[in-house]
Amino acid sequence: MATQPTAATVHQEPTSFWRRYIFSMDHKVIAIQYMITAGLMGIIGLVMSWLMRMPLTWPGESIPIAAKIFPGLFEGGVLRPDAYLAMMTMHGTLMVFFFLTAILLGGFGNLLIPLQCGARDMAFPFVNMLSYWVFLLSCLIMLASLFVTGGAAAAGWTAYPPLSAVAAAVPGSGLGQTLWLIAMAVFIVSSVMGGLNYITTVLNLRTQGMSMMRLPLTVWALFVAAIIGLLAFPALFAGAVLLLLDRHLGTSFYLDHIVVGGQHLAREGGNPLLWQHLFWFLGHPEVYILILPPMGIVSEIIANNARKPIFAYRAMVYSIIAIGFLSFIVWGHHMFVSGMNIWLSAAFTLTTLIIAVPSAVKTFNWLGTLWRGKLRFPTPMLFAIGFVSTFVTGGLTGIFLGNPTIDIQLHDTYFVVAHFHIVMATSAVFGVFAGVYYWFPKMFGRLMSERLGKLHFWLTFLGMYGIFFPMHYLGFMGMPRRYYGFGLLQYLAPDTQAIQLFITISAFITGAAQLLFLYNLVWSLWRGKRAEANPWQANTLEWQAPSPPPHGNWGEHMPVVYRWAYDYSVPGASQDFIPQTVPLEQEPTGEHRRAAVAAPELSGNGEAHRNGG
Amino acid sequence: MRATVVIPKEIRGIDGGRFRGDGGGRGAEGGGPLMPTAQLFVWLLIVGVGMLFAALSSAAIVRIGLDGQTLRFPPIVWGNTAVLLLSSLVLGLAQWHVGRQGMFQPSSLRLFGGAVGCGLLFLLGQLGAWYELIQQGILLTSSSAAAFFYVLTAAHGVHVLGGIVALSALWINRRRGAVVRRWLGPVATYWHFLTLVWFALLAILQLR
Repeated sequence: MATQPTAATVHQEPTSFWRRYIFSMDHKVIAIQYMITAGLMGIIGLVMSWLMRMPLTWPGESIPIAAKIFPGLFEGGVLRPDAYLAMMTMHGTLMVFFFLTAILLGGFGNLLIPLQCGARDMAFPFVNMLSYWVFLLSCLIMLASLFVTGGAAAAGWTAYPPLSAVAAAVPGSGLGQTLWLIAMAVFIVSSVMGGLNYITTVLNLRTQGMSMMRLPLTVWALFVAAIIGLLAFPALFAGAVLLLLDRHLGTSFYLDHIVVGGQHLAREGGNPLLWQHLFWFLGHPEVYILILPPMGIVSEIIANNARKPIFAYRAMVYSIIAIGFLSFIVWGHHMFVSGMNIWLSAAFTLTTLIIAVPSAVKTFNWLGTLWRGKLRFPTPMLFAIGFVSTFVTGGLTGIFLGNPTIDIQLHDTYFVVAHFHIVMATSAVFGVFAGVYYWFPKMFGRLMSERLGKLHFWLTFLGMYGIFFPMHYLGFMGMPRRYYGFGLLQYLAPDTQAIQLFITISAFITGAAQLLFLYNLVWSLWRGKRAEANPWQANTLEWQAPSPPPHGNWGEHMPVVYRWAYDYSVPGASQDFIPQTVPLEQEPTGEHRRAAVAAPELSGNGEAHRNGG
Repeated sequence: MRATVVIPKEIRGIDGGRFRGDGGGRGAEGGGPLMPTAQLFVWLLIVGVGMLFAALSSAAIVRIGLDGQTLRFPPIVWGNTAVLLLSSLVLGLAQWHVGRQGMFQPSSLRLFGGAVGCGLLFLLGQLGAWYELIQQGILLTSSSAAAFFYVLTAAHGVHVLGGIVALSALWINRRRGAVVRRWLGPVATYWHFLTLVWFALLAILQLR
């Protein structure tokens, strides 16, 4: 491995337990802290989804076991309607922000950015540590809202006013909603602190030879996702502040002539659409914050396991940038049903359809990478291919919903639940699983069990389709989302109840399958097969460090990069992978197009090399 | 074994460059980082803070425009504006002195302290402006223009307070030349940004 003898002053590794594992400034420890915390939030969100399934599947029926476990949410063995709304709100909030955003940006961002850029740590380790602790504080505030009088927020994860703005609207509109807003504001502060660090590290701390166009796609995806977060989260912060003022100080930013319980509130002039604009200005880019990092992870894993260079690397990078840009001009498609000028809705339709283009480019490139590859199918690869499958399924229905004519019909139905969950709950989560299985050996020096991993994949893959695919059908039939029950409204066909039962059984099986994953995770920490430094025979820099990497990652010698990250199966090479640190004199490169015009490279001692591919 | 090569100051981390951030940021081009890391960090922070003010301001522009009301500022606001502008000028002057002298000397320290003092005076003045409005019976709930005046000036004030904390941290570290050289420019950039934001807010609050 080529290294640069910077002999940088490696600061003393902390020796106390507190500084090493709790208040650590090491990006790898912070990554694990984020992953554990976000994982716990994800488990809580998962249990909430099970609770929501109960009244939908067995309306009015007593479920004694659940009532015994969660006595505060059930009455007479039946989940209370207000508890259902609270579970629905908190499930969405926890899963979108506190699980997926946190594990992808906080977890994988922290783990991979310094390692794959060739840095010793983040640019500002103290701010990085602070970011995690502020995130934990936001989690605690959000969870505390479950236990206050009136229960947790119940206005949906989108918190639309007036339901979220008037404390007397529903039980969850009280203190629970206030805590929801405070927790979100604190979460945003944490996200911005993290994002500043990620962007700065990518731009300024890349190691010698690591040009932007040599960065692995994982880093590109995390980099653009961090930029999106930096630009979009402040809008929701602004919205949350105004909403808190409406709730507690009598302002009327979102309220206009509201009557609650027969009483007219002295609020006028406000408009709930203002909240919708501010929310969706973050809300839509947010889904790209959640899907870009999995796209990067999947690109890495597919290239590695197809033993081929990623197909059209530059197109992949430009697609990530295009998605990042376009994500800011599509938010209005969430508001077609709120009433909108027809020309404006046409504009949002156009941008929504355009964003499908770079997404399709990426999909075709994954397929192009797989095509005629020497495919291997370890668990990360299965989840990566599962990601491509579900991204196509879920992405296509997004094109349906981008059209206002169809969206107005389907917007408040289970069709949207199906679309959203196939992309977010399945694709993005598959990206997370793929990443955990792939980088677990780097994090802990051991491999996860392949047998358990494959079982976990197949149960999850089939289970997710079992849950969400039938929801399209329910949506077409007109089943509204967010409803606790339908009472005497018997307009739905009788077979819907059978579908609900099928979905719920799938949900329980899929949920139970995650226990396999948790067992595998814990078992492998102690009993997993010891991993060598580069068990996947991969090219990116992190695999040149020991597993797990030491404090400071690289010892005394910084790595020097001579090539891109995708030199797999290069003709004439001695093996089918060539790490980025192998000089061009030693091995050829497959970076053909750029090789001819490459600028001189600097080696560790400043000597110029020509790209010899 | 501890090695000895010094990390270039522009790529050191917040911990004073004891260890982190020696990736180099050169990329294949060997051209050095885009700008010093601390400066880049602050520019990105400015982008984030700018988005917050952009969100609040766009809401204000639409709502105040719809309501067709504006707020007559209390006269003290103009005095506060002058004080904030003065703080920026004095800080710029201190920055220039430090740039020439390499670190804080008594003259530049006085200027620096003056800038911090002006910042504090500005905040006190803003509290005075709020007090005057309350005395006139103009409250947060009186009109959209009043509501946005309180919200925008409060948001600005919180960020000014953050700037004062950063300047104070520099004051505490005034004898540590490396810290001063690395952070004075970025903190000053943030401070000047807040001055510009203030003028933008005054203009927005007067739009009809």
